[in-house]
Amino acid sequence: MEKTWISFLLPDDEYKRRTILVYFAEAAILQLIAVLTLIVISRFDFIPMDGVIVLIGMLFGTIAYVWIRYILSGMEFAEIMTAKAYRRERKLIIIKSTSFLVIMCASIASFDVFGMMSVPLIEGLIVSFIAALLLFLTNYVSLKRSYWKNRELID
Amino acid sequence: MKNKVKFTRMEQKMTQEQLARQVRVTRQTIGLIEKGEYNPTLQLCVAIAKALGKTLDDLFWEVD
Repeated sequence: MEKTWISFLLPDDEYKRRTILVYFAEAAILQLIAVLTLIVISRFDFIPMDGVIVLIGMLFGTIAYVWIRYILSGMEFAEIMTAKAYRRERKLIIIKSTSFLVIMCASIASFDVFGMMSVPLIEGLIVSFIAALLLFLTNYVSLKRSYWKNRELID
Repeated sequence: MKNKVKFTRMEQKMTQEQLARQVRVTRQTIGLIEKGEYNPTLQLCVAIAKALGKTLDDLFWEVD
């Protein structure tokens, strides 16, 4: 195993660990390029830039890059090899996403009843729905990619 | 990298899942190694060789 202080972020499986390390490295290089570009842009007054927004953008950009690469790599569901296992996992994903939506909506509704919400109820519900949809889509795409990849590897 | 992992494993009537469990990787990793789509570390090569009761030469050495 590679001796690195980010070991706690890496899975035990060798292939996954090395591939994720590559994604981290790619994200770091892209971030470096983004920083250099922003330094050049900030010298001229082409675009007005808010420091905090730029930092948040870079943070989310980096996380999104690694996350999307991981989902599309098809290595998340490494043991899903058969159509039966695929259907079972797909069912689990639907149950997980639906449970997440129900729990989020119930929490938001109860916060609203007790007057602890600073935004309108409908906004909270829309955000919950989008989050649940995102959870379902990312898991579903990851599952589908994993299944396609694994089908080719089965003995 | 071409190798004889699949051939040797099948010769010993071992499944991908059993080998994966023995060397503590996923079945996908074993599948990728067998297809030559992933080059394992020396540590994993040794673990696979031990699990299959072969030497590194037997499994990973290419003879023209």
